[in-house]
Amino acid sequence: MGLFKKDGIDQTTVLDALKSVKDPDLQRDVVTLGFVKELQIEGSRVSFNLELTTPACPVKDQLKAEAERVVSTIPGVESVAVQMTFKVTSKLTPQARTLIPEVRNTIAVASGKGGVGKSTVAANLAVALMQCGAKVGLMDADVYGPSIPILMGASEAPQVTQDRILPPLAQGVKMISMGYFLPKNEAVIWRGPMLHKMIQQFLGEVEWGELDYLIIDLPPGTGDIQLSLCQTIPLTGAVIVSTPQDLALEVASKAIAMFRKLQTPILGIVENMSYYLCPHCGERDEIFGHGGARAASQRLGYPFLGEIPLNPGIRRNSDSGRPAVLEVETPYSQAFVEVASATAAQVSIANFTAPQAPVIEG
Amino acid sequence: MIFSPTSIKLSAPGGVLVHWNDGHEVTYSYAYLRERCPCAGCRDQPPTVKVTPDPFPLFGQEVIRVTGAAPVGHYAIQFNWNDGHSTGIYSYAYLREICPCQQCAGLSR
Repeated sequence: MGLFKKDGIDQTTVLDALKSVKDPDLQRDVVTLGFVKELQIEGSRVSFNLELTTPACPVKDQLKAEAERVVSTIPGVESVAVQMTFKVTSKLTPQARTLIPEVRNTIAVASGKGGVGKSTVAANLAVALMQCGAKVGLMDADVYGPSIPILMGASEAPQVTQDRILPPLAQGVKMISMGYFLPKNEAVIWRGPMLHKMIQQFLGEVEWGELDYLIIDLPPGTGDIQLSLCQTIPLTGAVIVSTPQDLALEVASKAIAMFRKLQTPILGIVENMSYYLCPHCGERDEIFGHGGARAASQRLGYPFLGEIPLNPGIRRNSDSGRPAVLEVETPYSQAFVEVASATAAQVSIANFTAPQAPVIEG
Repeated sequence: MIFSPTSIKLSAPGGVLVHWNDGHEVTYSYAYLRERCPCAGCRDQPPTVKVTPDPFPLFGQEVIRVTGAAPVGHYAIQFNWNDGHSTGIYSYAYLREICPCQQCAGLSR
């Protein structure tokens, strides 16, 4: 040994120590995963970067503390400096590469039933990931009820050049919506082929640029838009939103069945309108029941991504175009942050475990 | 288990050769695949092209074959045929279901 020996501490010793630090989501150690970068040893000082697969990693602090701890126990080490960096992973298939070459991950937000808060979850998910430092886009694929521009407070319309659409920025997120192209009080009354065309345009003709995550807000149900989306690009995965009540969960299971059929990974289930904290007496009321989505996710074997309370604050934020996750120190903004972290972790896992696309040769 | 192909060779001897993720390996003849085209046009109407070999060929009838293919999302493949047809989306589940090998034929039919 001693190839890199410098005053008693060598790289191998440090790396061996770091092999005991495991990423709980990917279930491998940080050295095998290739997270350790820029390892430098100067005398008794050790510094390195831990390059995670997402800036929204829910166990970021835990991994950092653990890495510092194991290295500091090496004899001779006096100080350890760990810097946390990130590089969002991706599993681009040739199909996605031609259409959206710089988009690393595509996440559809779906539900069975309408009115469960898909768009609210999608908007807050996008903003939460952006706040962590990721590059995020938000595509409103709900042509019938495009609500993303209102939720995101986006007044600026997209610029359309000859064949490209420049998405406006709202809250630091690039976004596109049918709402921009439709006069007020007009409606989209389209058949399948038109919807298919729209999906292809929103993906291929919008100047998304480099994105870590593209969040796609779907209309409710299992119709043309969902099918076209799953055919046009291999999605990284889908997030299912449901209220805790049996009725909603029953319909959500239809959406899950559809994604299963289309072999799109289910990243997990979010329970929205999970409970209501009375602002007057502080009593907790479970209006639609509680825990139904958690139980359903356990039963079906999908991750549970978190619960979001029913709160007038979220409604006010949504209507005023300032996503609720931007409010600090409210229980509901924290809930959105947790859902975003859990989703980002599942994306990393999906990129790690999803099967490769088949190789097609002539 | 969810079946999905690991590789698909379009012009293998005898047709399209598919390697599956469970190690299964099988060749689908072009005519067999085309006769089972799942597109709405082929399913609801009599086939627009005759794909079974003509027993009394008068002129050299062109043989149906696959000229190209593209993946469809995570779950299917779309073949382009030499007569211009391309609307059939063969989901991997369907492709596996119609596996022509003796072993599978015994299972499903």
